[in-house]
Amino acid sequence: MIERLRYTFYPGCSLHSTAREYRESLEAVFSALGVELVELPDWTCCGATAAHATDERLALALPLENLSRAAKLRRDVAVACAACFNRLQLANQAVRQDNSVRAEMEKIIGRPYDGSVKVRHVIEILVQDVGLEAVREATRLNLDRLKVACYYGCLLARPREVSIFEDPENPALMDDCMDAIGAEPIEWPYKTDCCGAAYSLTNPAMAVRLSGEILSMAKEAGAECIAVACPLCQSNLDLRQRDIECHRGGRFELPVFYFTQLVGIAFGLAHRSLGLHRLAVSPGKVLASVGRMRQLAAPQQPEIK
Amino acid sequence: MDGSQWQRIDTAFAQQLDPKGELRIFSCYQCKKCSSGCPMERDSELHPHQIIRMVQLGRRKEALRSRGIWMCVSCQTCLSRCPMSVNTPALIDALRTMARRREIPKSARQVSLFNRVFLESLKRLGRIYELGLMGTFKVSSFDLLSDVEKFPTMLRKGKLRLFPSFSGRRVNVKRIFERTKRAR
Repeated sequence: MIERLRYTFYPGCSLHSTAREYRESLEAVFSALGVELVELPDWTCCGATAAHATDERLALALPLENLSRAAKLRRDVAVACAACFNRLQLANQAVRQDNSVRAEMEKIIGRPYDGSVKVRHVIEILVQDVGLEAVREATRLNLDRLKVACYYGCLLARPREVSIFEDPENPALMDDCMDAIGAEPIEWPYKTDCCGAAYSLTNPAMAVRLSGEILSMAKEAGAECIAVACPLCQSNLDLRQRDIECHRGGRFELPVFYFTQLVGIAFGLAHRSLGLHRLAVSPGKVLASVGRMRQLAAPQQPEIK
Repeated sequence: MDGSQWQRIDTAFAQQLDPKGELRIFSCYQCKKCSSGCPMERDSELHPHQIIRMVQLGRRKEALRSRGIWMCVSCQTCLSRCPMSVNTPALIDALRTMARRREIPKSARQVSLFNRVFLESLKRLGRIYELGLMGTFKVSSFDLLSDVEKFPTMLRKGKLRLFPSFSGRRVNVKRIFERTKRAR
């Protein structure tokens, strides 16, 4: 048994609503592995794209407000959302690199902060801190080399200074993780292409085009499902999949899992605890077809909360 | 050829956008690697390498009024592939920050409207209330019908919270907004 790992958890806005299943599955998997996530009390939004497109100082101060409070808790900060991760990392680096920025930011947030808190993405924690050996050991069900297209999107890979990957053009952490649970990560070229992100609301045609390219490439490369680590990637590929099918013709029927959901399935955790019933494209067919998911094949009552 | 045909370029614009000289605007030699990898290239009349050129040449109006700066989805591909490490995403953010509301082309107003609605919600609650954000955005942009069929699915799947979640520290966020506004 590995020693108990503890992190301060910054969930971010999406994990409270549109990406609830990311949070549910993350907590289920981490608790199965003995990793403890303690939510940062009264965390506030990182500002995402709207802040950095509007005012640079605002874009730095919003994440720093949270990091400076997390500093008092003396643990690494775990982040699941790729966009939050990116903003927190960039703000942290800006403070570390430039004393004048640090002074200005300390004045704005009203407390000292030197950029010393470590911001970690949950894939890093899973692969580097927990270790793939422990993940392999916790795996109970045989995924029978289910073909997964690991889709990383933009914000975990770029810019290079905040990237959690050795090679930002061809990341491997999620692939390694999928391999450890007995799935087969396929080789495909669109791992870090953009899905259209928040433009899903302001320019849906563009999001349909970009996400359509990704789905169609994944299908062509032989994927049975897609694994993601970002709430915006997930909702563009999953919730928009029907639109994209109507637009391009043909069917994809590619379930879009958070990578934590697939890990949880392999661990044999209850599907409800992994939020599988919240996916728009039903995963039932893919998983039942390889004879692992009798539980899911049964009809489920939708849950309204 | 006498010197009268030559004009000095106006570097004041570039300096204004990048007062600390961190973005490496003048290192760009137009290799176009940025534009080849840009996912928005098809939707923009000015491509990344052209935006950089406009800034180098001090052509304010063309840069600030372009649709291209609003179509940028901040995917950071241009920066990560640039052989000279020109920080194009940060340059585009600086242009968006500088552009006044009336300079934004009609076809790109949705984007700046979304940003405003987003920040307004954040300022009030300290967090983003997604259902409220989508609703307010739809009303403000006079586009009530698109994607309306997704709401029931999202509600049924428990993907939208009906009520906002407040942060107990939302006063801190408000203060950050006030202080950055003063410094602007």
